Amino acid sequence: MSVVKKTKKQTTGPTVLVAEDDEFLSRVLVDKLEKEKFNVVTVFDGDAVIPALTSGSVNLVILDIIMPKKTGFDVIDEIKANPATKDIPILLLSNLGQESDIARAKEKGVHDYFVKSNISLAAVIEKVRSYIHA
Amino acid sequence: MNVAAQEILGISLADATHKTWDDIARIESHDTDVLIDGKPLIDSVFLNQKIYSKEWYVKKRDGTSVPVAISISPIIDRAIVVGGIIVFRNIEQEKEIDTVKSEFISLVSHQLRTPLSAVNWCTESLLAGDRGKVNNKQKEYIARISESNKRMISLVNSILDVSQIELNTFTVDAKPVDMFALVESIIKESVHAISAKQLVVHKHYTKSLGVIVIDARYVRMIIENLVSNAIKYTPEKGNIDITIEERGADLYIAVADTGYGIPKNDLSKVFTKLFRAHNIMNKDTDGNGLGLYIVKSIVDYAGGKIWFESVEDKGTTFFVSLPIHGLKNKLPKAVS
Repeated sequence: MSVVKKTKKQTTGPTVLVAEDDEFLSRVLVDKLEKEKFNVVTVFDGDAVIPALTSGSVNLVILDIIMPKKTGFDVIDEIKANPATKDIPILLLSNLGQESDIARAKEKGVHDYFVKSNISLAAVIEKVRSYIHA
Repeated sequence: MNVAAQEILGISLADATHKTWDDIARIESHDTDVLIDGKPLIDSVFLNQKIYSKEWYVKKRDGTSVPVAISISPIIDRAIVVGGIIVFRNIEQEKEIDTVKSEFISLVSHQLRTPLSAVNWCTESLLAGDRGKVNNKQKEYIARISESNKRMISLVNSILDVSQIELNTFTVDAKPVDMFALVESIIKESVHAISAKQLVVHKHYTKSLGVIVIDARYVRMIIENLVSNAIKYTPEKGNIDITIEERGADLYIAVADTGYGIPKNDLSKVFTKLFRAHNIMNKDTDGNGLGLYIVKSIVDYAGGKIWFESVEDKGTTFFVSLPIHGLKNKLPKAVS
């Protein structure tokens, strides 16, 4: 059973969905997003992304690639194939960083791709803001 | 047609006799016929009177495809093309090995980077005060953990770059690049290191550099490594001069510093993997001895040149001349 968690403090700000299977990394990222006044929905496997997107108004998805049940690449295909979700910006955050991974993700239509170890939390927030004009 | 060709194409000599190449097979790239300047490949061989050699796919009559290293040459008799020779080798197994190599690098990079990401984000969060107030001593310790972790990330990234070079999994993805913006972004990323040592950077490049179709990743790696070395190996209040110019068909890069220089005895080893000059061993620099090896490998791959001038205790200048076409998407190699 896939788990979807919503942020504790609902704000009037935009909503970001964080799909990251490493619960600790997810928590660190979610804490930062919440501190910056974003509403956050978290999921921990690939199967949970589409249900979470279709049941609420998510403004941007932060997506990992290596996740249980379904990889980030498969999730992108699902998001793009669904008329209700296809226009939601996707920011890939993964520790896979080969050119082939980046090229594959960009071909599928993600807005940006960052290697987690090479990007700071502050830079992630800056990117999120730039894509949803928050 | 020899026996190997019959086996690869799945056709007997008797079946192939009196048929044209197009009746037997197609040469494809990404599931479409290979075209050279809009013309079918075989027509181009005859029209241009050139040999074309590359890794493509041969699509057989049964609809299946085989990856091949193929070379197509015209037979020319007194300036007239009277026929052609197609030589190809099945490289299915080599492709499988390449895939395994690539998957291995992917897996290793993922596993090495995951714990480093956690340390990176946690230390950033703690230093920003996101998890409550930290006193100055704690801040100093956390900052040290963060710096050490960043050095580890840089080392892992360099090792992965070296692996890609040595496993020959280089691919080139050329796109229009705003060179001025690229160089500026590299300097912006180094601004803390530059200001910490009160270095003065002199920029000898302008917006007139314009847009060049090139693989930005490799150009970035070259400039980033040279600039990062200049910062590391220049003492406080020194100067760094960065020159970028388009010179004919080449991109010319020069990075000069007023740093420690390279001792005469070490000059021949500068581009060797894990090289560290003797005069910087006892200084507090965080080099890993991989940067110049990576730069040299990329420059060699692109068919460019790299050289340097250095005087100990005066400084070093690295020069790179990079053929722009060397980092364009690889086109069929034409041999006149």
